[in-house]
Amino acid sequence: MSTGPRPPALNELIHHPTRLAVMAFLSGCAEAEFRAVQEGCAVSQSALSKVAAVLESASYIKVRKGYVGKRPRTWLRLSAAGRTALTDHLSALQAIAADAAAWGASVDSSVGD
Amino acid sequence: MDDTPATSAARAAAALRIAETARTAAAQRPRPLPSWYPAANGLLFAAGFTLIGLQWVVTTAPWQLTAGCQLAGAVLLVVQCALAQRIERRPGIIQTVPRFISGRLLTTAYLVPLAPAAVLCLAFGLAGLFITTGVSGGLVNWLLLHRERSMTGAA
Repeated sequence: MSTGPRPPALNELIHHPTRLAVMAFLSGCAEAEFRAVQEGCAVSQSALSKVAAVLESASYIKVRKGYVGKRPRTWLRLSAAGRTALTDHLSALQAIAADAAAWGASVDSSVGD
Repeated sequence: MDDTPATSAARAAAALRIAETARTAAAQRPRPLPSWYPAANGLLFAAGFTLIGLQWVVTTAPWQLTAGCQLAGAVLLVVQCALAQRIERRPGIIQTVPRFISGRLLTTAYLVPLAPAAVLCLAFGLAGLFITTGVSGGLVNWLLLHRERSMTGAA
């Protein structure tokens, strides 16, 4: 039984690699056009549509529809709640990696003894 | 699922790499900044504001000269904005604070020059405000863009 601090909570909603990539992509800019996100994250249009719908329903991203000339455009941006959730999730991932590194070091030292 | 710490760490590291790659893809410039751009941006900004501010320094000048300075200053600022738009803008993405500097440091870098500008505004009026803002703002632009260029390993 572990007596250490409680493990950090991962956000199951954004743990999926594509969702995580989309959230992280949007955290690197103020707002991005649907196609730019699609190209930047290397995902298909249908996959990004599904991911965007899930993240929007969780209020992690905001979707804005408009026109450039006569062409319809969809813009995505990270909401404040989404930014916080992403930061927490990345912190949790970093904590897991750090804990494992510490665990590995302790195993190495016990083997060496 | 019964993960060992090692496999959990490998998955966590992979997820962190995905996030970092995606974030970098969004934040990167469309192309590396040209070597001449930081200086050109800073000088255009400084010269534009200084020329506009000169109208309050040389009060005895003929109106044609004053108007010419204002026009030239406005043109230089428009050129600076157009250049920034052409070189820094990336289609489909609205950039946020550049990654090489924190938002707080960026705000400080632009707010600090406003203190001497405010003092010189009290001492010399609008001429002090415009010229100090132009010179200090241009210098901040130059330094920040130069820093970005050197940190992103521009060509």
